[in-house]
Amino acid sequence: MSQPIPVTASDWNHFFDLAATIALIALAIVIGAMIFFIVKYRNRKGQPEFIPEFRLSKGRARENVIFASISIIILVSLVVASFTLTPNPRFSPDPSNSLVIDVTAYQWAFNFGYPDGVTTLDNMTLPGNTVVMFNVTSADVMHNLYLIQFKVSIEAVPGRYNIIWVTTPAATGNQAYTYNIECKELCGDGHTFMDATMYVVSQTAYNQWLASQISSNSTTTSGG
Amino acid sequence: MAIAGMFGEMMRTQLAVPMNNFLLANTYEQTVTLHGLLMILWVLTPLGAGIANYIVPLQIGAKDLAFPRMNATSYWTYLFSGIMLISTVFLPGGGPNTGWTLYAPLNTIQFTPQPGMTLAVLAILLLALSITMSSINFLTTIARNRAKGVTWRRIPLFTWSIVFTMALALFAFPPLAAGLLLLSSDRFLGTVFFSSTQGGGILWDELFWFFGHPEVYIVVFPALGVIAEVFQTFAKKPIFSKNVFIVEFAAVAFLSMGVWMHHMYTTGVNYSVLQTFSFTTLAISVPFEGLVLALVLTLYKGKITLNTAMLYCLAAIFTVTLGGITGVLQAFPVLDYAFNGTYWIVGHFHYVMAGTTLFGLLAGLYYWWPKITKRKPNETFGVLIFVVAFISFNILYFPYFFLLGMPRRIFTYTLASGFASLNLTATIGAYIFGPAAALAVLNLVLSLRKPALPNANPWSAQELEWTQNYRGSTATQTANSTENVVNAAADDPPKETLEDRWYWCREGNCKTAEKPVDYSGKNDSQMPLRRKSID
Repeated sequence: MSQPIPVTASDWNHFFDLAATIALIALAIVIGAMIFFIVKYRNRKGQPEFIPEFRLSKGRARENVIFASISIIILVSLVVASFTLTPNPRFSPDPSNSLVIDVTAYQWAFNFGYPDGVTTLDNMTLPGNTVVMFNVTSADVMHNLYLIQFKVSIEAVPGRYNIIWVTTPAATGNQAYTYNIECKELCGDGHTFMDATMYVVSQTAYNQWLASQISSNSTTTSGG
Repeated sequence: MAIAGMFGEMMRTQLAVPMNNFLLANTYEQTVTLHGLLMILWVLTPLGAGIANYIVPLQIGAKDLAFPRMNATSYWTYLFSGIMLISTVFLPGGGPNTGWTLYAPLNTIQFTPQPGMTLAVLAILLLALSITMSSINFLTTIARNRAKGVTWRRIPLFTWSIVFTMALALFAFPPLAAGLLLLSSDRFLGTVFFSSTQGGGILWDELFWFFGHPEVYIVVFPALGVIAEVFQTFAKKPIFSKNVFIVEFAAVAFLSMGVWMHHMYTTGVNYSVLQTFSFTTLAISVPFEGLVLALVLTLYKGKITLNTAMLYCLAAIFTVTLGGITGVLQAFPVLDYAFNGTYWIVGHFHYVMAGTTLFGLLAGLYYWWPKITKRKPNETFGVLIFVVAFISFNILYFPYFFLLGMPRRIFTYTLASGFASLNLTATIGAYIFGPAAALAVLNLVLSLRKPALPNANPWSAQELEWTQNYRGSTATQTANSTENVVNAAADDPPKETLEDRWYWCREGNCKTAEKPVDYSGKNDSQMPLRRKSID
């Protein structure tokens, strides 16, 4: 797929790669040391029956402090690195500069409400290169709006509005990107098939789509 | 346990190929729920307590637990509640289908009207009662029924791990019980604690995870205790810095009660709360890492014998380390936005809980089997089964770390999702791991047909339950009896720490079993509960 990776996901990937590399090195050190000790100090014939006394005790407190300090330094630097990530819960985008979508999850579908009164079910069309703010709630039980390729998710809690935002990748002309949305919280028997699709199109295509939605909505209303 | 394992195999069967129809959605959700509830609450939690029931009194020189009748009550409550939970699948509407987390408001009568759900709530409540009784019993035993000379500093590490396990259980289960009582009231009396839109769902989250996170450590601690014992015996070395090890245990136990919110990163809690719990979660990894490093460093300059028990411990160290470091990644809220609720998390907690606890406690069974039954399980067969079990465990759970896009608890997936090959791999692993785990236990059972060992201590273990000749009990002691007393120091002044005593014993001074000597040097008290002689 040659779809652009959203900025939240590329940030996520970079930070994950960094943290996972450190984690794997730590794992390799621990397991490597364990295997080394087992091979090196295996029970051989000809060894004295009792291990000659050796003392780690004098340095033990110090060694423990050293281990703890090393891991604290690594963790703190990772925390600092994580501050630059998006979506950073510390900064909230200005709602006036972003497209606010009201998401209502219920058993077992997502309803997306646009500012212009348009509502769609299980699919949404978004303009490219826009900060989109999802205002998520639930009509019945807990759900979770998981934007898989964006690597962000937020719980849909009844009686509560939770906010998450993403920046859609730029789309021009006839470009249209498809992203998947899934419910990530067990919400009953229909949980498996509770999913939705996000289409990211250019601003002009979005405007056209919105206009067609508004007109079809009004025809439905006048017809009904 | 077999039933819970079978539920696990059923799920893997269903997920083996895309769009499978082996289980229906509702049946699958019931399976997933019962597998989680049974495995965590009815298998992993009491398994450590089961071994502790036998070993802890031996390690501290008590005749039995402090309240034997309460112990029996606890056991029968546990068994009854387990049967009660399993029986829910036969009720009309089936059993609970909400996942083991029983999230509100899905757990209320409005969304899960089946009586099986109500019965399940009551079953868990009974289990909480059973575990609370057990934890009081163990803590009382360890605090009050130690033999003379077994000071707090001399308590073996497995017993220490049980101290922290039970202390955590004592604090962790009441919030769960409170939540379940409120939930019962919702279901029976029509109250709206959890169906309320004024925070009902979050209230359950908080109560549940305040229990749920310490529960992880309740499950893992006994395994760490076993590993410490086994490493000390087969590396012929005392643990690396015992006092620090115990302090780290305590630190993990304490911090584990302050990290529950990391299960709720995506519930929309505000930033400062998010960051606080991210810090506490990272903080807990420091003492926990200390525990693992201390265990690994115990092998340093040891004299290591590799046998089945030892191999299971090594496997448990691997799983706890891998599970632990994936846990550190999850501690970052932004990373967790993607991990939360996916198969990554499933992989993570199966490594931590299933891997560490099952391998660790299997090691415990292999290690103490000669103590319990005076028989040694077949070593060749044991090692062979270990190799199969360890490899298949990783075939089963390692692919989960690549299934980041697959939400938990979905009963099927499409071919287009690309999950098929990884799921098939996991299912193959599951088909091998299940029988392998059963064979590992069968190996223990088969050893019962062998003749009894002539040697009561075939591993030359130095820990108190093997070396101490405490036949006596506080009840049967006579005034001048020296039994039930730690008798390490024959003719040397008492050594301060177990480590000192260990070296001293290793140098050949320790012919303890024949020469029981009052370690404390004070024959003052023969009271059954001897607070004064404890320290």
